[in-house]
Amino acid sequence: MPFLLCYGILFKGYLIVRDVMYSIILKDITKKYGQNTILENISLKAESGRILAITGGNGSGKSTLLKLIMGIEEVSSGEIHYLLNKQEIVDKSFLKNIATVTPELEFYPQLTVQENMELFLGLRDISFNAKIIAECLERFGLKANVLNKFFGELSTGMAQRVKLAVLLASNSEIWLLDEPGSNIDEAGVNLLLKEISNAKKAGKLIILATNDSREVAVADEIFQLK
Amino acid sequence: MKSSSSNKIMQIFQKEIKCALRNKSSFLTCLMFGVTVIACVSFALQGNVLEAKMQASIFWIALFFTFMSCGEGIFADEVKAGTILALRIYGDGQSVLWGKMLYNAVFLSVMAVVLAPLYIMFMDCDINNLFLFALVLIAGAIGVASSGTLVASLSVSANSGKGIFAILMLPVILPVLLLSVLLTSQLMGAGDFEMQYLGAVIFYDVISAVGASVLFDYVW
Repeated sequence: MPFLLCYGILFKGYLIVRDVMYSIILKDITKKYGQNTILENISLKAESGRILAITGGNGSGKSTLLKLIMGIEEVSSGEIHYLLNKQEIVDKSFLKNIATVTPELEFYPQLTVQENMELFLGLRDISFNAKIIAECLERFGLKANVLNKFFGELSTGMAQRVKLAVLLASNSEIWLLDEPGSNIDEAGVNLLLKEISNAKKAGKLIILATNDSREVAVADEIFQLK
Repeated sequence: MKSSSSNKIMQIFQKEIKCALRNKSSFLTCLMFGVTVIACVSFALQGNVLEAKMQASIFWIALFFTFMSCGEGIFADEVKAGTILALRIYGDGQSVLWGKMLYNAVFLSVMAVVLAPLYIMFMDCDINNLFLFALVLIAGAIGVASSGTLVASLSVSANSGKGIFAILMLPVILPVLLLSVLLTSQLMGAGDFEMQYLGAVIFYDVISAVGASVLFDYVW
């Protein structure tokens, strides 16, 4: 670890560790629900330091594809390979490097924002540091006083920003974002795009499922689902 | 178990406690279910005293259905609210399982401890040994909670609606339920207390908890 840190430099709050490279390779992925084929023979590759945008109309399988990568759903056929420094990781430990923001992701409405953050970061062995959390919230345009509010009392836009702040605070190397700009106003989307670009520069692997042209514009590659 | 794992289990447990205390409806529904069963049976008996075996059976039936009315929600409510995804992304299966199992065990033990005095009072029960009675209650509650947590997760994974929880629960829970009824009836005067049966309940608790832990990764 000390050697890794020697190579690391700080870039806008991100620790860039140059000799860590994550890759996700999908080979001929097919996903069926009963007789209904959602995805057919999808092959793609995503790697650290690049943004892959997955586009496609409603029902084209963008969200399903992200769920397959997250390990939430099983593929019907095909293979998903997770690689760290070109070495395949076969156990589920790889998935602990993934953080996500999707429309289906919800936090506990009965808990305050701080309690939610303490819980989810704690489950990743990250202790709640008020200063870092305040900075993460601020980077998505939220003030620290939001921490004392119940998550269920937040507007959908603010809730989305909190989820993005947790993503940022989780230090995850892989970001899977499903329509991350949904429910966020123009200023919020600009902050989001800035953070996505920063994360890319910091060497994170980012997969964006979106049809928003502003989000697609920051991508290095675009994969179109039919 | 590593300290970080135990911390995560405690975080899940604390989350369950906070959510339950802030959303009192679920807790009160369960409690009222148990109280209603006791009140109805007591009213129907009109002062007559049942034999010990019958008293023990009705008590455990009340506890079992109290758990049934809330137990399924331990995972189903997470799915309904969309929070299960956050747990799956940020948490690991074992911490979630043990945290929820611990909560279920505490919840059911609290229910048992609250309902037992009411039951004893309304049904005019004689308990030979209160310490052993409490031990049987807690051991039985842990058995119901540990297997119930796994069955609740299975029923959510099966995605077959609410019916499957009750169907799966009965055969899994029957051994500990029958042993708990037998031990409670002995403490209510139906024969001598047989310690080996209490050992069997504790053995069931351990086996069901370990079994749940082994199987849970396949459903998580």
